[in-house]
This record gives sequence, C-alpha cells and structure tokens, in this order.
Amino acid sequence: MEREMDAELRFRIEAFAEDLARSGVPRDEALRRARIEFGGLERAKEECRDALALRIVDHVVRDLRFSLRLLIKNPGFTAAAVIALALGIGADTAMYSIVNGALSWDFGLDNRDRVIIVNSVNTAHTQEWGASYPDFRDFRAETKALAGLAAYELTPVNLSDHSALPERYYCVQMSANGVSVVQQKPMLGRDFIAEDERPGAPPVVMLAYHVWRDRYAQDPAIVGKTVRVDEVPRMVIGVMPPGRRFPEETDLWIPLLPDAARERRNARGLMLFGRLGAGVSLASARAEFRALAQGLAAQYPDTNKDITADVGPIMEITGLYYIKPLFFALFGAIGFVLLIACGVERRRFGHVRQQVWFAAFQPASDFSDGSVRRVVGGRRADDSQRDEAL
Amino acid sequence: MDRQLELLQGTLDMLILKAVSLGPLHGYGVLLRIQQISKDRLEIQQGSLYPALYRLEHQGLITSEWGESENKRKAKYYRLKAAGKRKLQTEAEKWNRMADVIAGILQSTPEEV
Repeated sequence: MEREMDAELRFRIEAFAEDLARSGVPRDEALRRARIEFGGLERAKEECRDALALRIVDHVVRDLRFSLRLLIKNPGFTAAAVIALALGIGADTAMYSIVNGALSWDFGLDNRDRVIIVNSVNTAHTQEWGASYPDFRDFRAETKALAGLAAYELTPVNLSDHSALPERYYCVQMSANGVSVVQQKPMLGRDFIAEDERPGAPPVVMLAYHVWRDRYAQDPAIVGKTVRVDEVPRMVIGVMPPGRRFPEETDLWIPLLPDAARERRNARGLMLFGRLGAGVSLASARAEFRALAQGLAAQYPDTNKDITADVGPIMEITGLYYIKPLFFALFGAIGFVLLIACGVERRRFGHVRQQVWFAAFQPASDFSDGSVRRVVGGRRADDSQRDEAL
Repeated sequence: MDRQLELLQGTLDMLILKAVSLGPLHGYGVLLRIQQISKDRLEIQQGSLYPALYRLEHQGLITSEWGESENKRKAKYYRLKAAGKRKLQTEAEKWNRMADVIAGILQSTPEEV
C-alpha cells in the first residue's frame, strides 16, 4: 500500500517533468520544477493516508474538542462531575487495593488453597479458640484427611550473641513438621526434624532471611553456630528464604516442646494449621475434625465438653476473612458511585453528543469535505443546545 | 475571465468521477483531463487530488489497477465503478438543480419579488 502510494506520486512528478521537458525545458530543470510544483512528497502521502483511514481519528479529535468546549461552558457542572468521578475512581482504587491485598494474600505459600487452619469452637458460646497440646497430639495422630497437621505459638524473645547487641524479636514456636507441612524449604541448612521436638533434645533455632541479612551480614557460616534465645543457647540449623514468612511475620522459629503447662488439655493457646491430603475437600476435612472433637469430648468431658473443631481456609488466620462479604459489599457500593458519576455525565451530555457523533460519522460519501461538515456538525450541536436551553 | 477559478469546495470528487467516466486515467491524467476540458480555467489544488482519489477508491466508487503509461512507465489507472456511475448521475443532477436555483435567484429583478 505504502509502496504503491509512493510509486504513484513519483510517477505523477516524473510525468509532469516530462511534459515540461517536451515543452522545451531542460530535463534537470524540468524535474526540479516538477518537484517544486508538487510540494513535499511526504506531506502528500500523509494526506493520502488521511483520506483512507485516519479520518476517524480526525473526527474523534473534533468530538473531544467539542466536549471540552461544553465542559468549559458549564464550569459548575464540570466541577461536580469531576469531583464525583474523582471520588468514585479514588475510592474504587483504594477499595481494590485493600480487597486485593487482603484476600489474595498468599502467605508466601505456593499451595495456599490446600493449607487450612483448625480452630476449637466452644458450642456453648461459639467462641473460637486455639487448641491445646494434648488435643493437637491426638488430632495429629488420628487425622486421615490431612497430609500433615502442625501447631505453633507466637511469642516475643530476646536474641543475644557475640555479633551484636541483644535484640527483641518475634519467635514462632512450632511443631517440628511445620515447615514441611506447608512444603517450604530453608535456603540454608535444614528445617526441624522430629528429633528436635523430643523433650531434652539439643535446642535449635531457624532464622528469617532478614535477621540473617541484617544481624549476621549474610554469613553462610552462621549455620552450626550457637546463639541465645531468651538466654537458652540454641544452635542455628537453617535460614528461611526471603519473602513472606509463615505462619506469621516472625523473625525466628524454634521447636514447640510440650511442657507441664502445655500438657493441660484446656490450655488452648496453640494455633493449628495443616495441609489437605491429595483429593480431600475442605468439607470432608471439616467433617473428620468434627468427629475427632466429638470423640475427645466423650473421652475427656471435664475439659472437652462442648468443644468442637472447625477447619477453615488459611485466610481465616488473618481475621480479615470474616469480613470478606463486607469487603465485597463496600467494593460494590463504591463501584456504584463511579457508575452514578458516569450516568450523570451521560444524562447531561448524551443528547448533544449523539448528534455530534452522528454528524461526525455520516458516511463520507457526500461531497462535502471535512471543513464543510465541521460547520454542519457544530451548528447542529449548537441548535440542540439552544433547544435544551429554551 | 483570464484568471483561473478555484474549485468550489465539494466539487472535486464529482469532477474526478466525470473525468474517469470518460475513460481510465492515471492520477496525473485526471488532473490533465479536468484542466483540458475546462480549458485551463479551473485550478486544482495539488494537495487535494490524490487524497480525493484514495477516498473515492476507498468508498468503492472507482477502482484502480497498475498499467503502462503512454511513455512506457508503470502507472496506476483509475476506472469508474457502477456505484461511481450512479453517484456521478445523482451528484450531477443535484449540481444542475442547485446551479439553476442559484442562477434564478441571481437573475431575479425587483418586480418579481
């Protein structure tokens, strides 16, 4: 297309030059004059292209210019529309950020959909609690729906060693299977093994990436060294990779050991999480845990009467999960603000705009060129405006 | 009436259709033919001829094919299509009516009004 256009216009120049040459003008001079007479080749091509397809762009620009004039003419309305649109868009964006951030939180997990949490629920007052260590031990031994069940507790600790001043950190005390249940892996060293949670086992600790980076200057030799966590010397066995930490935004992980206080069945301070077994649905895991809890209630009525267990998606750990419907309601409401803003704009200008579009997109087959139609379009729109005003 | 007249806006397309209706022409030929028929009394703006040709072709009123010019060069020849023929008829009719009306107005005398 482009080549043809070029060839055609060049032919035009050369043919004219030949005519000139025939009338006695020297050949070079003729070509020069022909070029001058024709003007810029590129500009001519530009105009030809316009005639083909870009007319539509021209029309849209004209339409926009007209809208702009209308907006300037009605500053009050324009301000109202702009504010409504700004509020609508702003609120929508804010809501979207919140909903997106809260509901698509992936916990740094690749398999978020398969990871669940288990709560104890007191049916007498539907209060949700964590689980006790003895309950956890029984659940873990008996569950078939889960590929793994782990328990943890978050506590603040002091970390001290020879490399820097003691610092206050968050520490997750977690059953030894915690990292493997959610199929994570340390980037350095190893994670916990069953041996680490045996009472009397040598104390160990795992570091979060940022602790390793900031406190230990990314020293790979940290693995195997001993640091003190709340004055207990612990050997560093691994460093977790950067990114979101699991199950909480913690700094350290140490094994969760059952002690005398934790051996009480009604000390429900532990959070439980697990991974659904292959092909197991959330509903069937829920049913299984309800049955397991019933069994415990029958076996230990003193502590477990009225206590049942509920299995929910990992999202519930944030608490945000419960207000999910509220999020969507807000999201929808704010979407309507935007819709209304758009609606108002349409109602005010739709009538006029339709005529402008009509004028602009009439088939170009009539013999008026752009400038003529521009006048026609403008006048039509002005007329309709006057009609509105009357 | 020595000086060249500028083409009335909106009439170029009609004149191109007319020129092409007399036989296939390349773009430069269209220009020459219009000037020739008008005895050089009409000036056709350089910048408007080719865009008009492209526009008319795009609208399906004329069609083009590459051929050989009188002096053995490759040139793009335009030919009138059926739709263009109809268009030319209606536009010519419109133009003649318009010319009559305007002439009538211009010739009117105080007595007639």
